[in-house]
Amino acid sequence: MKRLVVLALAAVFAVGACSGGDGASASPELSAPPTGEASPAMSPETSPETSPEASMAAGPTVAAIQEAGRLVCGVKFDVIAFGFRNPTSGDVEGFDADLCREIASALGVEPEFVEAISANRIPFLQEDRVDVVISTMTRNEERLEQIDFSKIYYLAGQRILVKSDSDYQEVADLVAADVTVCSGQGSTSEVNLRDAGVPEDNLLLTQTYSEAAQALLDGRCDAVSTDDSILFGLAAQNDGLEVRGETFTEEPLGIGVKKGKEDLVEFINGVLDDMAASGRWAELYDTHIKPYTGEDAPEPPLDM
Amino acid sequence: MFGQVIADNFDLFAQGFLTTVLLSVTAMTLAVVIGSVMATFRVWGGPALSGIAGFYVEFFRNTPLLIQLFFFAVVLAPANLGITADPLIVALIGLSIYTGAFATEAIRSGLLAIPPGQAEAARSLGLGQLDTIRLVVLPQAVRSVIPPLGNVASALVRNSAVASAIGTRELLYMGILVNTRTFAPEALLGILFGYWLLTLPLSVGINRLERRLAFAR
Amino acid sequence: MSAVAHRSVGLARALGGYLGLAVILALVLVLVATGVLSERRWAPFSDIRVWRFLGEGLWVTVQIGATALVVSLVLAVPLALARTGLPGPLRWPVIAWIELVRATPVLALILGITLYMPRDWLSPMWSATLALTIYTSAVLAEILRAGILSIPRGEIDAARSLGLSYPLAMWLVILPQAFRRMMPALVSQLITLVKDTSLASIAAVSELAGYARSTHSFYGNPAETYFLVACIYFVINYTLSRIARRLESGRAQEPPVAIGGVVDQAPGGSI
Repeated sequence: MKRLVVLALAAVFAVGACSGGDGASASPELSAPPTGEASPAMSPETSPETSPEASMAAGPTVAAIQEAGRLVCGVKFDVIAFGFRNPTSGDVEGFDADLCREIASALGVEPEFVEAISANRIPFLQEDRVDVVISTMTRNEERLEQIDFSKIYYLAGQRILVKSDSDYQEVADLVAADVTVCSGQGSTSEVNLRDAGVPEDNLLLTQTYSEAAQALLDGRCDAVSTDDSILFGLAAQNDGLEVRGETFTEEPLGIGVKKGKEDLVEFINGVLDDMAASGRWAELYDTHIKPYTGEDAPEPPLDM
Repeated sequence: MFGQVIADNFDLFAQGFLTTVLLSVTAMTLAVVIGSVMATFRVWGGPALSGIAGFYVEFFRNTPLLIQLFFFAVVLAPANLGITADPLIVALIGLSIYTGAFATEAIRSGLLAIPPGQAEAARSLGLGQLDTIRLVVLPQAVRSVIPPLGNVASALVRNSAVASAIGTRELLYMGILVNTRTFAPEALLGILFGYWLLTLPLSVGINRLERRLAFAR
Repeated sequence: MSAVAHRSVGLARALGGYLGLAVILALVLVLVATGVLSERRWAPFSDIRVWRFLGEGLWVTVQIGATALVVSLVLAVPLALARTGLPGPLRWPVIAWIELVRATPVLALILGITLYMPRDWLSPMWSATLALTIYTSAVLAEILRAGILSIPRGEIDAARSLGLSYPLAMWLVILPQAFRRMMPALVSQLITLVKDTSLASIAAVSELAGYARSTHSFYGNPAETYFLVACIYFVINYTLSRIARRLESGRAQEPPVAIGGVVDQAPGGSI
């Protein structure tokens, strides 16, 4: 317990020193650790951390990571703004990637990036291939049964992508103007649009979102709507497009951790709280998200 | 109980298996058509036709099928050429073009294996070029071409698994789907058995055919 | 044809596929310059850093391919010898292994192994290499076997009569000849191996195809990226196939190898 507080203090100082903000509060909130015990059927190998005594020990997972000298993060390598490789620099960049770097520096270790594609990110956690997964992963009931999540580090959601010179601001504007909206075939985004009031006939569904962006540019539809994490990429790749509007669905993104590693979850939550308090979270938002929305950073969504 | 996972999801496996069969049979047919045309160009075409056919063969044989499928999936999409968005059709086209390159070489080697004396004799008997090909060369070519084409077909069945990468709901795709949902390794065995069921009889059949044709000589 | 035309055709034949590729790339340049093709989507490739980025992926591909090739060659020898040399019942497991592995789609092997390999044992990159090695060694074993069987019985009899034991006779006399005979088929399989490394990208291995995905995700130009990456693979494999053909014509004096379907490796190439 003592070690944990020392580490959290170190995190506070590290983050505080980086951003030059006023001295952040010395005691980061510790959320109650989730009580799930890893069921043997889920993880092929039961790691020592699943024993009941673990949550009272001084952070065995954290200690192990520090001993290894590196934090292995599963991030996306092809989602702009969150986790992507920049061909010109060769580095892994994005909001998710920088979160990994923040946590790693708080731990005093080097960050290491592994590509997490949607199909393998939970198995990778359960097999201890990665220490954490930060890959635009939505926290939902189904996943909570298999892994643990940190606090919410970003509230993604469905928004609209329109031409910069158009007047539409919200999905309600699109409904009112009775215009064509593009989305992905068979996606939840499509369903959400219909729920938001867009008539079936006004939906232009494509196989991929880059096709949808092309349709928008061609004028075959007046907006594209899906998760903003995808829309940012489209805005980045095509001039003259902007992401607008309130999110009309909620996709809370959390950092995934294997079940039973409560100390790591607590540590990460501590880092997130510090980032929120010190303004570091807002900085990351301005660096990675603001270029596509033109909006200032909202409040960090941590406790949603 | 072992195999329970496969039994519970049998309809998914069956759908995948049938898609694989459909994909393989159709793509092989198209590949043979493409291969025949291209082989004809190679053997009897002028420098231009032969060169184009040659480049087709070299380009599609030496590049990965996966890259080709990704390329076709994008190019054929509604936003571009607007031909199809269905992964199955894309896979069909991609597999046919890819396999066609190998089929071309198989057919070409079959055509070249026929002694030129055969054609010469036919011509000296007064048969025209077309008739010579049709009545003398082709029947013999078919026999010498079957074994290498059999290998091409066997490879095609195995290559069809790559189509899962673009979303075609064939056997590998369905098996991985079941595996992702159930976390059961048996799903992978289901995949293996499905492919072995197709490829093993095929290779046994090819061996038998080869032996029979070899004896006939 | 005139002498000039003859020489042109001869030159065209010598350059072969490289010429065709150059023509196509030149065509692309013209189409971009005239605006038929989208400049925005092709422009990233004028940046040398993008090529350096792809080069990182290519290096991984080379590592995977070279490792898989070397280990497969080493494994193929005992497999081939076991299949030809072992007495009846002992052979059956070997035959079963080789035939079952050869009958399996490579992608299924790669996914199966990378999904279930513990992290402490092998990373995804080396798991994929292992999968490729398992597959390639089985195929190479069959190629070697065809080579071994094509060598006239007299060779091994002569070697034995000189006092060499069966293993030594194999190692010093038969195998080197088998290797040389099957060299075109071996190179052909290497080409297939290079192509199959791209399948590792589906298991999240960062080789050339994986780097291609990162690139086109960043720039929004999938078709263009995949086309150029295909050209990279083409240059590598076409060069290998020309080397194979050079070796083949060098061995034109040898009797053709006609065992169990492996013969088509030479003209048609391995698939």
